[in-house]
Amino acid sequence: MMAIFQYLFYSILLETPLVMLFYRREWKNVIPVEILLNSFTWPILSLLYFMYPHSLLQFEAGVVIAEAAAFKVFFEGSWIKALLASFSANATSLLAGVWINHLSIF
Amino acid sequence: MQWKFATCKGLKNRGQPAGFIDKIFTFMLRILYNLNKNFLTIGTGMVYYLLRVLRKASYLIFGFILFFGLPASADMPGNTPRSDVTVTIKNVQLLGGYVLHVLDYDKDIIIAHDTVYNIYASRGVPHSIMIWAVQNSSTTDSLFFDEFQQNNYVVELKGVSGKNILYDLKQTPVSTGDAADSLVNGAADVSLADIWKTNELLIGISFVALLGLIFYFLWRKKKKGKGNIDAAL
Repeated sequence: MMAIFQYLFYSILLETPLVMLFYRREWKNVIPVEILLNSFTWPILSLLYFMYPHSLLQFEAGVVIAEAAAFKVFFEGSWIKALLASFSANATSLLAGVWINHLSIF
Repeated sequence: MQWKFATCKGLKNRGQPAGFIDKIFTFMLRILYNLNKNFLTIGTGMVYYLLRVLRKASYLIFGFILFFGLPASADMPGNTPRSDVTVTIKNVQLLGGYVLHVLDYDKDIIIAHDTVYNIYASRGVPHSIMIWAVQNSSTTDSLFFDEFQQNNYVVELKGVSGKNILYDLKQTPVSTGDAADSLVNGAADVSLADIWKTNELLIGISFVALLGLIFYFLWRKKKKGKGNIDAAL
Protein backbone atom coordinates (compact mmCIF):
# COMPACT_ATOMS: atom_id res chain seq x y z
CA MET A 1 0.00 0.00 0.00
CA MET A 2 2.80 2.38 0.88
CA ALA A 3 4.22 1.95 -2.62
CA ILE A 4 1.81 4.53 -4.02
CA PHE A 5 3.36 7.23 -1.86
CA GLN A 6 6.58 6.99 -3.81
CA TYR A 7 4.77 9.02 -6.51
CA LEU A 8 4.10 11.81 -4.05
CA PHE A 9 7.81 11.85 -3.31
CA TYR A 10 8.65 11.98 -7.04
CA SER A 11 6.16 14.84 -7.54
CA ILE A 12 7.77 16.88 -4.78
CA LEU A 13 11.24 16.14 -6.15
CA LEU A 14 10.24 17.22 -9.66
CA GLU A 15 8.08 20.21 -8.89
CA THR A 16 10.08 21.95 -6.14
CA PRO A 17 13.10 22.92 -8.31
CA LEU A 18 10.80 24.13 -11.08
CA VAL A 19 8.84 26.38 -8.73
CA MET A 20 12.13 27.56 -7.25
CA LEU A 21 13.11 28.80 -10.70
CA PHE A 22 10.05 31.02 -10.74
CA TYR A 23 10.49 32.28 -7.18
CA ARG A 24 14.27 32.40 -6.89
CA ARG A 25 14.29 35.16 -4.25
CA GLU A 26 12.01 33.14 -1.99
CA TRP A 27 13.56 29.72 -2.63
CA LYS A 28 13.75 28.93 1.06
CA ASN A 29 10.01 29.33 1.38
CA VAL A 30 9.34 27.31 -1.74
CA ILE A 31 10.57 24.09 -0.12
CA PRO A 32 8.09 23.86 2.80
CA VAL A 33 5.24 25.29 0.73
CA GLU A 34 5.80 22.81 -2.10
CA ILE A 35 6.05 19.85 0.29
CA LEU A 36 2.86 20.85 2.10
CA LEU A 37 1.02 21.83 -1.07
CA ASN A 38 1.84 18.57 -2.84
CA SER A 39 0.95 16.60 0.28
CA PHE A 40 -2.41 18.38 0.16
CA THR A 41 -3.24 18.12 -3.54
CA TRP A 42 -1.68 14.77 -4.49
CA PRO A 43 -3.80 12.57 -2.14
CA ILE A 44 -6.99 14.34 -3.25
CA LEU A 45 -6.06 13.95 -6.91
CA SER A 46 -5.26 10.25 -6.44
CA LEU A 47 -8.47 9.63 -4.54
CA LEU A 48 -10.67 11.39 -7.07
CA TYR A 49 -8.90 9.83 -10.03
CA PHE A 50 -9.49 6.31 -8.76
CA MET A 51 -13.06 6.95 -7.61
CA TYR A 52 -14.58 9.00 -10.39
CA PRO A 53 -14.60 8.40 -14.13
CA HIS A 54 -13.19 11.72 -15.25
CA SER A 55 -10.01 12.24 -17.20
CA LEU A 56 -6.74 12.92 -15.45
CA LEU A 57 -6.49 16.26 -17.25
CA GLN A 58 -9.68 17.54 -15.63
CA PHE A 59 -8.39 16.76 -12.14
CA GLU A 60 -4.96 18.13 -12.98
CA ALA A 61 -6.51 21.42 -14.16
CA GLY A 62 -8.07 21.78 -10.72
CA VAL A 63 -4.72 21.12 -9.08
CA VAL A 64 -3.03 23.76 -11.28
CA ILE A 65 -5.59 26.39 -10.23
CA ALA A 66 -5.41 25.43 -6.54
CA GLU A 67 -1.61 25.49 -6.50
CA ALA A 68 -1.51 28.78 -8.41
CA ALA A 69 -3.80 30.32 -5.80
CA ALA A 70 -1.48 29.03 -3.07
CA PHE A 71 1.59 30.45 -4.84
CA LYS A 72 -0.14 33.82 -5.10
CA VAL A 73 -0.89 33.73 -1.38
CA PHE A 74 2.55 32.55 -0.25
CA PHE A 75 4.91 34.23 -2.70
CA GLU A 76 5.29 37.68 -4.19
CA GLY A 77 4.29 37.97 -7.83
CA SER A 78 1.39 38.24 -10.20
CA TRP A 79 -1.39 35.76 -10.87
CA ILE A 80 0.11 35.03 -14.28
CA LYS A 81 3.43 34.14 -12.72
CA ALA A 82 1.70 31.89 -10.19
CA LEU A 83 -0.32 30.18 -12.92
CA LEU A 84 2.76 29.72 -15.09
CA ALA A 85 4.75 28.25 -12.21
CA SER A 86 1.93 25.93 -11.25
CA PHE A 87 1.25 24.90 -14.84
CA SER A 88 4.85 24.11 -15.70
CA ALA A 89 5.46 22.22 -12.45
CA ASN A 90 2.29 20.16 -12.73
CA ALA A 91 2.65 19.55 -16.44
CA THR A 92 6.13 18.15 -15.83
CA SER A 93 5.04 15.86 -13.02
CA LEU A 94 1.94 14.79 -14.96
CA LEU A 95 3.94 13.85 -18.03
CA ALA A 96 6.45 12.00 -15.85
CA GLY A 97 3.59 10.16 -14.14
CA VAL A 98 1.99 9.26 -17.45
CA TRP A 99 5.32 8.01 -18.73
CA ILE A 100 6.08 5.94 -15.61
CA ASN A 101 2.61 4.46 -15.14
CA HIS A 102 1.42 4.33 -18.77
CA LEU A 103 -1.70 6.24 -17.75
CA SER A 104 -4.10 7.88 -20.13
CA ILE A 105 -4.37 11.66 -19.85
CA PHE A 106 -7.78 11.79 -21.51
CA MET B 1 -15.62 47.37 -25.16
CA GLN B 2 -12.93 49.30 -23.33
CA TRP B 3 -11.88 48.10 -19.92
CA LYS B 4 -11.06 50.90 -17.56
CA PHE B 5 -9.89 49.88 -14.13
CA ALA B 6 -10.51 53.22 -12.54
CA THR B 7 -10.02 53.52 -8.83
CA CYS B 8 -13.26 52.90 -7.01
CA LYS B 9 -13.46 55.25 -4.09
CA GLY B 10 -15.90 53.09 -2.24
CA LEU B 11 -13.66 50.07 -2.51
CA LYS B 12 -10.51 51.46 -0.96
CA ASN B 13 -9.21 49.70 2.11
CA ARG B 14 -9.81 51.49 5.34
CA GLY B 15 -6.33 51.35 6.77
CA GLN B 16 -6.23 47.56 6.87
CA PRO B 17 -4.29 45.25 4.59
CA ALA B 18 -6.67 43.38 2.29
CA GLY B 19 -6.92 39.63 2.80
CA PHE B 20 -6.99 37.10 0.00
CA ILE B 21 -10.79 36.76 -0.03
CA ASP B 22 -11.11 40.54 0.15
CA LYS B 23 -8.92 40.86 -2.93
CA ILE B 24 -11.09 38.45 -4.91
CA PHE B 25 -14.25 40.35 -3.98
CA THR B 26 -12.61 43.70 -4.69
CA PHE B 27 -11.52 42.46 -8.12
CA MET B 28 -15.05 41.28 -8.95
CA LEU B 29 -16.52 44.53 -7.64
CA ARG B 30 -14.14 46.60 -9.76
CA ILE B 31 -15.20 44.79 -12.92
CA LEU B 32 -18.86 45.28 -12.07
CA TYR B 33 -18.29 48.91 -11.06
CA ASN B 34 -16.77 49.63 -14.48
CA LEU B 35 -19.41 47.64 -16.29
CA ASN B 36 -22.09 49.54 -14.42
CA LYS B 37 -20.44 52.86 -15.11
CA ASN B 38 -20.20 52.21 -18.84
CA PHE B 39 -23.36 50.22 -19.37
CA LEU B 40 -25.71 51.28 -16.64
CA THR B 41 -28.22 48.51 -16.11
CA ILE B 42 -30.35 47.45 -13.19
CA GLY B 43 -28.86 43.94 -13.33
CA THR B 44 -25.21 44.91 -12.97
CA GLY B 45 -26.13 47.49 -10.36
CA MET B 46 -27.98 44.92 -8.29
CA VAL B 47 -25.16 42.39 -8.55
CA TYR B 48 -22.70 45.13 -7.61
CA TYR B 49 -24.55 46.00 -4.40
CA LEU B 50 -25.17 42.33 -3.61
CA LEU B 51 -21.44 41.64 -3.90
CA ARG B 52 -20.68 44.60 -1.63
CA VAL B 53 -22.88 43.04 1.02
CA LEU B 54 -21.41 39.60 0.43
CA ARG B 55 -17.90 40.99 0.69
CA LYS B 56 -18.58 42.14 4.22
CA ALA B 57 -19.91 38.71 5.14
CA SER B 58 -17.39 36.74 3.06
CA TYR B 59 -15.42 35.26 5.95
CA LEU B 60 -18.66 34.24 7.64
CA ILE B 61 -19.92 32.53 4.47
CA PHE B 62 -16.64 30.74 3.75
CA GLY B 63 -16.43 29.64 7.37
CA PHE B 64 -19.96 28.32 7.23
CA ILE B 65 -19.27 26.34 4.07
CA LEU B 66 -16.10 24.89 5.52
CA PHE B 67 -17.30 23.94 8.97
CA PHE B 68 -20.92 23.03 8.29
CA GLY B 69 -21.00 22.04 4.62
CA LEU B 70 -18.30 19.41 4.72
CA PRO B 71 -19.39 17.43 7.81
CA ALA B 72 -22.94 17.45 6.45
CA SER B 73 -21.63 15.80 3.26
CA ALA B 74 -23.48 18.45 1.32
CA ASP B 75 -23.80 17.99 -2.42
CA MET B 76 -23.45 14.23 -2.24
CA PRO B 77 -26.25 11.92 -3.28
CA GLY B 78 -27.05 9.50 -0.51
CA ASN B 79 -25.37 11.52 2.22
CA THR B 80 -24.71 8.38 4.25
CA PRO B 81 -21.98 5.78 3.85
CA ARG B 82 -23.29 2.75 1.98
CA SER B 83 -22.17 -0.87 1.96
CA ASP B 84 -20.68 -2.74 -0.97
CA VAL B 85 -22.92 -5.03 -2.98
CA THR B 86 -22.17 -8.15 -5.00
CA VAL B 87 -23.39 -9.26 -8.40
CA THR B 88 -23.19 -13.06 -8.63
CA ILE B 89 -23.15 -14.10 -12.29
CA LYS B 90 -24.07 -17.76 -12.86
CA ASN B 91 -24.20 -20.03 -15.95
CA VAL B 92 -21.89 -17.96 -18.14
CA GLN B 93 -21.35 -21.05 -20.32
CA LEU B 94 -25.02 -20.89 -21.40
CA LEU B 95 -24.26 -17.78 -23.45
CA GLY B 96 -22.70 -20.02 -26.12
CA GLY B 97 -20.43 -18.06 -28.44
CA TYR B 98 -21.15 -14.76 -26.75
CA VAL B 99 -18.47 -13.13 -24.60
CA LEU B 100 -19.72 -11.41 -21.46
CA HIS B 101 -18.33 -7.92 -20.72
CA VAL B 102 -18.50 -5.81 -17.56
CA LEU B 103 -17.85 -2.08 -17.79
CA ASP B 104 -16.81 -0.66 -14.42
CA TYR B 105 -16.00 3.05 -14.81
CA ASP B 106 -13.61 2.94 -17.76
CA LYS B 107 -12.48 -0.69 -17.25
CA ASP B 108 -13.86 -3.23 -19.68
CA ILE B 109 -13.59 -6.66 -18.04
CA ILE B 110 -14.33 -9.95 -19.80
CA ILE B 111 -16.14 -12.54 -17.68
CA ALA B 112 -15.31 -16.06 -18.84
CA HIS B 113 -16.58 -18.07 -15.82
CA ASP B 114 -19.19 -17.81 -13.11
CA THR B 115 -18.15 -14.84 -11.02
CA VAL B 116 -19.00 -12.87 -7.91
CA TYR B 117 -18.43 -9.26 -8.89
CA ASN B 118 -18.04 -6.73 -6.10
CA ILE B 119 -19.40 -3.19 -6.56
CA TYR B 120 -17.72 -1.19 -3.86
CA ALA B 121 -19.68 1.63 -2.27
CA SER B 122 -18.65 5.04 -3.56
CA ARG B 123 -20.09 7.12 -0.67
CA GLY B 124 -20.92 9.71 -3.32
CA VAL B 125 -22.16 9.34 -6.86
CA PRO B 126 -23.59 5.78 -7.08
CA HIS B 127 -21.08 3.28 -8.39
CA SER B 128 -22.67 1.34 -11.24
CA ILE B 129 -21.59 -1.35 -13.67
CA MET B 130 -22.89 -2.32 -17.10
CA ILE B 131 -23.03 -5.91 -18.35
CA TRP B 132 -23.49 -6.97 -21.96
CA ALA B 133 -22.51 -9.77 -24.33
CA VAL B 134 -20.75 -9.65 -27.70
CA GLN B 135 -20.45 -12.17 -30.52
CA ASN B 136 -18.48 -10.92 -33.54
CA SER B 137 -20.33 -7.72 -34.51
CA SER B 138 -23.52 -8.66 -32.65
CA THR B 139 -24.04 -6.92 -29.32
CA THR B 140 -26.82 -7.49 -26.82
CA ASP B 141 -28.65 -4.86 -24.80
CA SER B 142 -27.04 -3.98 -21.49
CA LEU B 143 -27.91 -4.72 -17.88
CA PHE B 144 -27.13 -2.15 -15.21
CA PHE B 145 -26.41 -2.71 -11.53
CA ASP B 146 -25.40 -0.24 -8.86
CA GLU B 147 -24.88 -0.12 -5.12
CA PHE B 148 -27.35 2.70 -4.49
CA GLN B 149 -30.30 0.32 -3.93
CA GLN B 150 -28.21 -1.64 -1.40
CA ASN B 151 -29.16 -5.05 -2.80
CA ASN B 152 -26.99 -8.03 -3.60
CA TYR B 153 -27.85 -9.45 -7.01
CA VAL B 154 -27.78 -13.02 -8.32
CA VAL B 155 -27.99 -13.15 -12.12
CA GLU B 156 -28.69 -16.64 -13.49
CA LEU B 157 -28.01 -16.48 -17.21
CA LYS B 158 -30.14 -18.59 -19.53
CA GLY B 159 -28.86 -17.63 -22.97
CA VAL B 160 -29.24 -14.95 -25.62
CA SER B 161 -32.33 -14.31 -27.70
CA GLY B 162 -31.99 -11.71 -30.45
CA LYS B 163 -30.57 -8.65 -28.76
CA ASN B 164 -31.56 -9.67 -25.24
CA ILE B 165 -29.73 -11.58 -22.57
CA LEU B 166 -32.15 -14.03 -20.97
CA TYR B 167 -31.71 -14.25 -17.21
CA ASP B 168 -33.34 -14.65 -13.82
CA LEU B 169 -32.61 -11.98 -11.25
CA LYS B 170 -32.72 -12.38 -7.48
CA GLN B 171 -32.16 -9.47 -5.14
CA THR B 172 -31.46 -9.63 -1.44
CA PRO B 173 -30.93 -6.58 0.75
CA VAL B 174 -27.41 -6.05 2.01
CA SER B 175 -27.12 -6.83 5.70
CA THR B 176 -26.49 -3.89 7.99
CA GLY B 177 -23.04 -3.06 9.21
CA ASP B 178 -19.87 -2.06 7.49
CA ALA B 179 -18.89 -2.72 3.94
CA ALA B 180 -17.09 -5.96 4.71
CA ASP B 181 -20.40 -7.63 5.68
CA SER B 182 -21.50 -7.89 2.10
CA LEU B 183 -18.40 -9.60 0.86
CA VAL B 184 -18.27 -13.19 -0.13
CA ASN B 185 -14.76 -14.33 0.48
CA GLY B 186 -11.84 -13.48 2.68
CA ALA B 187 -9.51 -12.38 -0.11
CA ALA B 188 -11.92 -9.72 -1.30
CA ASP B 189 -12.47 -8.71 2.32
CA VAL B 190 -8.78 -7.96 2.78
CA SER B 191 -8.57 -6.13 -0.56
CA LEU B 192 -11.56 -3.91 0.24
CA ALA B 193 -10.27 -3.13 3.70
CA ASP B 194 -6.98 -2.12 2.08
CA ILE B 195 -8.77 0.19 -0.37
CA TRP B 196 -10.56 2.04 2.42
CA LYS B 197 -7.47 2.09 4.61
CA THR B 198 -5.57 3.73 1.74
CA ASN B 199 -8.40 6.19 1.10
CA GLU B 200 -8.54 7.20 4.74
CA LEU B 201 -4.78 7.56 4.83
CA LEU B 202 -4.87 9.79 1.74
CA ILE B 203 -7.59 11.98 3.25
CA GLY B 204 -5.64 12.15 6.52
CA ILE B 205 -2.39 13.22 4.81
CA SER B 206 -4.23 15.83 2.79
CA PHE B 207 -5.96 17.25 5.85
CA VAL B 208 -2.74 17.42 7.88
CA ALA B 209 -0.97 19.11 4.95
CA LEU B 210 -3.76 21.68 4.69
CA LEU B 211 -3.46 22.42 8.40
CA GLY B 212 0.30 22.69 7.92
CA LEU B 213 -0.17 25.22 5.12
CA ILE B 214 -2.54 27.31 7.23
CA PHE B 215 -0.17 27.29 10.21
CA TYR B 216 2.82 28.08 8.01
CA PHE B 217 0.93 30.99 6.45
CA LEU B 218 -0.06 32.37 9.86
CA TRP B 219 3.44 31.87 11.23
CA ARG B 220 4.98 33.76 8.30
CA LYS B 221 2.46 36.54 8.63
CA LYS B 222 3.24 36.89 12.33
CA LYS B 223 6.97 36.82 11.62
CA LYS B 224 6.63 39.51 8.95
CA GLY B 225 4.56 41.65 11.31
CA LYS B 226 7.22 41.43 14.01
CA GLY B 227 9.91 42.29 11.45
CA ASN B 228 8.07 45.43 10.42
CA ILE B 229 7.80 46.66 14.02
CA ASP B 230 11.51 46.07 14.56
CA ALA B 231 12.32 48.00 11.41
CA ALA B 232 10.09 50.88 12.45
CA LEU B 233 11.70 51.05 15.86
